[in-house]
Amino acid sequence: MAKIAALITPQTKGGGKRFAVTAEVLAIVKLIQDLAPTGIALVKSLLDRMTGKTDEEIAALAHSINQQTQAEIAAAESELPK
Amino acid sequence: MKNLAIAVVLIAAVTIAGCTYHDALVLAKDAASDNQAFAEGTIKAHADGFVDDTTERRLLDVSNRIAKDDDAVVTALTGHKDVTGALAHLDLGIAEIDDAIQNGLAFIKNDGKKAEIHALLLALRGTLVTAKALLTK
Repeated sequence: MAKIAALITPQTKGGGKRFAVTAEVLAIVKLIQDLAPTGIALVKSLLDRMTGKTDEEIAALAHSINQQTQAEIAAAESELPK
Repeated sequence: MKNLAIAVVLIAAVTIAGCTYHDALVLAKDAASDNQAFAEGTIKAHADGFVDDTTERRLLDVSNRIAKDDDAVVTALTGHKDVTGALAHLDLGIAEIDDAIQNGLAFIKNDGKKAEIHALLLALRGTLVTAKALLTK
């Protein structure tokens, strides 16, 4: 990180400031560009997990639906001739 | 820079692994709804006279076993993340659906009702197969 900071630290030249653009800086920019889609997907996935239901809530819902189904089946089977 | 890259890879791996369990759990919940639709469709078809008593009993027995297997999958995924156990119950559910398609549908008299229940079973099968694919990738 210190190396990156040093690379993009403004350098004084002729009274003005400018950034030193080296091959390494360009490589870092390229790396960030390459990683961006993955990063966006990860952030989206994390947001989905944060705003959606928790695993426990989903599990409780699934159990509830399965119990309801089993109750409906038991009721239907009780009406069938033995 | 190397440490940062390792950290990014580790965070990504942990997040993706977490998503796999979460997504499989969501699919197990969807399978519960699909199975409920299958049971209700069978009960309705029987009430309308398209399915005889023996076939209804057979199809509802399949639905009942799928509900138990699906519950086992949910428990395996929410507890200690027992992927092997979850996969075993998913396989059982898929086998039960295949058996119902092979042996249970033939006795449904009406072609339209047969196609309807077949579609419900295929939707349920697709959900279970997708959950299995997520856990085995």
